[in-house]
Amino acid sequence: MTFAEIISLAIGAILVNNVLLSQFLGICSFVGVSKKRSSALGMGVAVLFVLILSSLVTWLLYNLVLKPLNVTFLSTIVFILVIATLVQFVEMVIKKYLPGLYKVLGIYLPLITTNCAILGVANFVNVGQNYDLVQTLVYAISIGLGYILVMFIFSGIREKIETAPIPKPFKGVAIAFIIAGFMAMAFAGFSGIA
Amino acid sequence: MNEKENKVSLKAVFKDGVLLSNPLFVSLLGLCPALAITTKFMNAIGMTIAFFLVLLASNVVISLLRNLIPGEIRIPVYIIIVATFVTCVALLMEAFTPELYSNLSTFINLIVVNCIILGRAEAFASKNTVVASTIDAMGQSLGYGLGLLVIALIREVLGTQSLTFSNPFNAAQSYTIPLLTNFKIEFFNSSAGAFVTLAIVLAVIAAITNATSKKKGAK
Amino acid sequence: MTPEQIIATVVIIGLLIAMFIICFLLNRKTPKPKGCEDLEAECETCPITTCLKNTSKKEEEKNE
Repeated sequence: MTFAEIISLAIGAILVNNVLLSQFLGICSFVGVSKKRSSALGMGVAVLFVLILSSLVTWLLYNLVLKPLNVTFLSTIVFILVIATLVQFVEMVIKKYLPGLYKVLGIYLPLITTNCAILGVANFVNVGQNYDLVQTLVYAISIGLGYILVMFIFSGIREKIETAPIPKPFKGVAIAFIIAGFMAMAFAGFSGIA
Repeated sequence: MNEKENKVSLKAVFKDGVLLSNPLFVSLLGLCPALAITTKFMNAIGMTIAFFLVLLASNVVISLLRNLIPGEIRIPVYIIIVATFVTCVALLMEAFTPELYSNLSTFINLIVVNCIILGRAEAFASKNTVVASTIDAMGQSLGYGLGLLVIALIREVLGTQSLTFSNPFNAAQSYTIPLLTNFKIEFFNSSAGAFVTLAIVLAVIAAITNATSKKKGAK
Repeated sequence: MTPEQIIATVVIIGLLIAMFIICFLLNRKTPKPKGCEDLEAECETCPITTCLKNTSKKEEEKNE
């Protein structure tokens, strides 16, 4: 893969087809954990971390086990089992050996098993696009970065509007979605880069 | 007497799923498909049916096995059961409704992590009879489906000025009803439109809920 | 479905399920590092009851 191809894949995944604002993956966590910048960042880093690991492991399993044995119809079951196992394993390992890391993102790890973004990326990379290992890594990292970017901006805005006079029906989640809509509009501008 | 009591509570379970605990608008679960596939009304219908099949199957099976699954490992077991049914439904759709499946493919597979299904398994199917779990599955699916259909209706009618109905088993047979003229707001087809539509529907529901609770409070 | 596919299915799924349950139980057993016991993710609007860190489960565990 040339450097240019890597950059274009990365920019595509971070900005043009942003995981939250364009692909609509990971929305449940988007609304639930984004009221404070600190929790949004923690969640974002955890998502990036799990994305990298899970995309690697699912790629290996898909290409070295499922495809050769002709059982690719098992992808959904295999991927979700891998992701769930990985989350448990990672949480256990960092509880024991990396308590500093646990302080940062340990509490968000259980939330990530049901995060659509992880399973969505695993599916996209393997079943959808059949990327090779390098493309998979680049894509996974970029998706994670795009997630962190949007979460950070979104939580910053939400923190600010906590003290703003919002019309009563919109208080809470509805105004959050309006903001998300504005952000989606802004990010839609990036599609010109393609 | 017992039968009557049971019937009343089944009705309550159903009503709960559709209105009071509507999984989409009240519990705010399953948001990803609600934003992503609601560009077309037919997509929403397809998604609702797939969702219903998975929820029904998993609720029934988990309810049947509720006394056999050790409490310690129940979440892993639920995930495995749901994943199996999602794979079945996905394979069926791929075979019999290929056009619909290609529109929905990612999100059919993502039903396995749809918070609603695991949530109902944990909160209801693991503690109730098979009959009650079936009714619960029907109520929740109806509630979720209504939510999806409302959003899809708004987005498709305002975004493309028409409604398209097609035969899921034979995509060539489709019937487009032009509904409005000179009122095309393409915004609603875009991703920003998805967020805004959902926000408006939530706000309307909040306004109605506030108004009715004020009336009740005044009385 | 060829016999090889069926065997592959059973073996792969069986292995993965076993690994999942093992990791899950091992994880439950390892205690949180010191100073981390009272960390809480601020997921307020999170109605996801199967969220593996839902606080209502902690009450259940205390009751047990």
